[in-house]
Amino acid sequence: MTEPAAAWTPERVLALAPDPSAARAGQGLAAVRKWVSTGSDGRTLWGECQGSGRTPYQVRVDTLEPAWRCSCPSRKLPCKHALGLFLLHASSPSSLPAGTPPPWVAEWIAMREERVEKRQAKAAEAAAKPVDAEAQAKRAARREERVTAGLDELERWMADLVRQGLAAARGRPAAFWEGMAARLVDAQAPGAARLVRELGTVATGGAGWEGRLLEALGRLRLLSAAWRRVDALPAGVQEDVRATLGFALRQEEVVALGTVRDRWLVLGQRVDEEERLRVQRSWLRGESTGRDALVLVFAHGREPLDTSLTPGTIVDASLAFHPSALPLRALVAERHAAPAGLGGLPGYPTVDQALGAYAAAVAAHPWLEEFPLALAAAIPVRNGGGWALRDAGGAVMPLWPRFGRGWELMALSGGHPVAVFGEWDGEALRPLSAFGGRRFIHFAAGAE
Amino acid sequence: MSAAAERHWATLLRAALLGTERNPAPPPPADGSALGDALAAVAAETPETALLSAAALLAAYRRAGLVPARDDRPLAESAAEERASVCPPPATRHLATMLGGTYDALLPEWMEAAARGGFIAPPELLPALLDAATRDERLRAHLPAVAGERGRWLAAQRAEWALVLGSGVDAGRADEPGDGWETLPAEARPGVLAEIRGRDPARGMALLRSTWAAEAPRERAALLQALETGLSMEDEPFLEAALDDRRKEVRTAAAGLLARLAGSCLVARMTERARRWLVVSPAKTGLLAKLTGGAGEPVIELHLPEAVDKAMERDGVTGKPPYGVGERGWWLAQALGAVPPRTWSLAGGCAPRDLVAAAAKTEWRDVLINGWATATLRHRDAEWAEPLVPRPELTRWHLADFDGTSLLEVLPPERAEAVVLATIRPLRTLETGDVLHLVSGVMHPWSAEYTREVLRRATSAKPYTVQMIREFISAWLPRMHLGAALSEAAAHPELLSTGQTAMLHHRHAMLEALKR
Repeated sequence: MTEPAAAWTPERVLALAPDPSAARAGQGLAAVRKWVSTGSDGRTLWGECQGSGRTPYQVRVDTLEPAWRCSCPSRKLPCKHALGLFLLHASSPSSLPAGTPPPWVAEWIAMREERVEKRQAKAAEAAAKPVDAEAQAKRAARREERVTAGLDELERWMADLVRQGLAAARGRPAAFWEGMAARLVDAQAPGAARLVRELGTVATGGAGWEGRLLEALGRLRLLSAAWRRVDALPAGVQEDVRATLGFALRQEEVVALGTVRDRWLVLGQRVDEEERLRVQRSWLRGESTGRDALVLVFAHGREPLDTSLTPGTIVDASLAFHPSALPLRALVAERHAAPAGLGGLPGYPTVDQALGAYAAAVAAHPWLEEFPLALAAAIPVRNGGGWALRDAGGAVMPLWPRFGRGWELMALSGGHPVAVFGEWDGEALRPLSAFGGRRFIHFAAGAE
Repeated sequence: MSAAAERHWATLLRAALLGTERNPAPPPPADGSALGDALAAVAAETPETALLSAAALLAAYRRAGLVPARDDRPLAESAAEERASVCPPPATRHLATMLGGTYDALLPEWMEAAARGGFIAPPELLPALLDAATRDERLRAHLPAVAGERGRWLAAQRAEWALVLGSGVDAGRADEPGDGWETLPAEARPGVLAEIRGRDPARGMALLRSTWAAEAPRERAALLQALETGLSMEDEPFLEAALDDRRKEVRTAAAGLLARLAGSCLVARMTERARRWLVVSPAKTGLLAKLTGGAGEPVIELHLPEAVDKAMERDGVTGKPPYGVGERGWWLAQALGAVPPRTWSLAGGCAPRDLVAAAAKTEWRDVLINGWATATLRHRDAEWAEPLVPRPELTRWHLADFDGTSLLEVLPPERAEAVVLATIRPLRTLETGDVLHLVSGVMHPWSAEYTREVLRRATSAKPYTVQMIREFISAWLPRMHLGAALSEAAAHPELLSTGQTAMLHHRHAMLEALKR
């Protein structure tokens, strides 16, 4: 729904709303007469909105980040007042008079700047601080020993499993898989634990489970074998082995490795629920570097998710990539300008070329689970009971069997080629967005 | 990927399934291929690690070497170039909100406004819009204009949609049932039939005849109801035959439809009966009448039968009377319901108003009013509708299960409003359910005056009643004159709930967004 345009549009602002009722209430407040006073300094917006209380609510919005602060008691982020003010600005920027921020706004700006400075100072300090290298090395060595011991046990467990046969494994209770996963958590290898937990899901899955289970066991075996000779591996692969096992890097460490500035197209986003943790995955693609990036944001329980990356926009930002043989995972280190609407969706011209790129990616990073893949000109077609994309040469790429929005994709295309972006898992493409006829559509909740 | 790799993977998988205890992993293929060499080089401390390592290698090999399937069948024709422009982003947002279930009562108005502005719906919302139109026939009038070329193309891809967008079963001669009709799910058939009847009644009848014999008995009555759309004397032979159906609901539905056809044999038979049972003659014009002044009232005499015969039952004079109504009176009401009401005003040589007044003085007034009201609805007689619209003093005359306010739909809009206004003007508030119901009976878009007069009285001092009135207001909001409603709401903020005010604003914004 985005056309190439400057800065914020009402659609993009509405996409930030935490729920439909906030969006509705925000739209109701997007009128000048609802505001006692408003103002803008180009980057920050402010306004006073008369609520049910005696004093008006003080609303502040930073359009760059974006970020907000309101004195109302609502726990929604952003609240309807922030949305209303933002919408007012997005629909007619001139409706907010230019001015210098009043004290209550200046305070907020200063506080935020201070926080950024503090964070940078802390990072600099951490970098400069003569850490107790000896103690750190000791801790690291102890963890590595534990991981090695955990993987030894995993090897024995997998050998037992294969000796008795996968057919027998299918009948195992959940505790069988869960037990091994828990031992790997104790061994400080949470990434391997997650892969073991997934074995349990695959083993009880539908048709083709045996092939998928053997593949997954193969990947675990490869992980454990790689760990044993990790020091002999190329640097990037070492990092992938460690990351897959669950060794995490601190943000400062990642940023310290350097950043890449580009205009990043936010191509798709989805949220995974893992027990009580929600993981938001945002896929970005650099306009001039052509690099793909995956930004993960975690939220526990009812914590709000990050809303700063809106699908269908372009953000001018510096990203810091986690080290890898196939660097994908990244974090936003710094933003340079407010987001703009994207005007196209770059992708591979043919299915063959896309799969060729995937082959190269798997060769570099054999534990890769989802590969960001866009086809530049594909026609959606029915494929048995599901959907597929067909390129100009007639090559067919099946779509994720649970993709529930095939008709929308079909409507966007009208039988003409469209660009489709999604995650390729080696078998099917899970579409996250599409672009056709100058319209961008996002399949956030893409499952049936 | 190579066939050798696939074969090797299959043997690996078999070994893994059964377990290496009984079925050791196969040796790598010694074919000198790169894959064979790589497999030979993997660590093989035990049979189990050998199998797992080979699986690791082959899994990546297969994943990386996937060859896409090919489909060389000719592609379906693509959608034609759009002539109208997609509605602007705010209108898209409104449509998405309503298709999501919020303010969906305003969808028909959105579509009308979009069609008037020459806008089409954005492609990504077409599937939801077509789904909504299959459920709600009020959305079909402007569907072709709002769905545009893309919508027509999309609808052709799916049977349920093709039928509501009119490209499904329109080709071919009327006596050749379309492919879509026979395979349609039972619950969709009545709606689709009504839609086809709206465009081409003969075609609808042909489709119905083509599957009638095979139709499940309980579906038949619902399908018959769909004939209401485009009903004409052309349908009479079919309906007359349906009077002999084995199922009572089917017979009742057929009789109800025939009773609407003034020229049908059933109406002739009913008229003949009713004229025996009810005799209306002009007012006495003798000396006495002249002395008492005025023309006097027409004379009503009743000669009710003692029993119903087979022929009456076949025509629908049957069934248990509703609670509180005598058997014989019920027969009369049913017979009257089929007779064009002008029959009686002609016989009495008077206006319908005078006959209603005369009937009110007889002991059979409930039966007479009810029968005439049913007939007025069936024969769309505006002259008769006006005196029969229930006023507070008239409501209790109507028999159970009869909604007298529907008579308002027979009247032209301004007359319907005038009739209701005459009733509510003397009232300070609309506190009773009967009055609220009467106000609701004006189904077309309300005039500014009607909106104002109703809203000004939509208050109450009793909390329970306030809630009831609010519920009625919610149903009225899509019909109200927007300007009048907004100004009344602004002047009396207590009239509407926050949600209702928001709905009015949504209506306003949505219409503004679709202006050219």
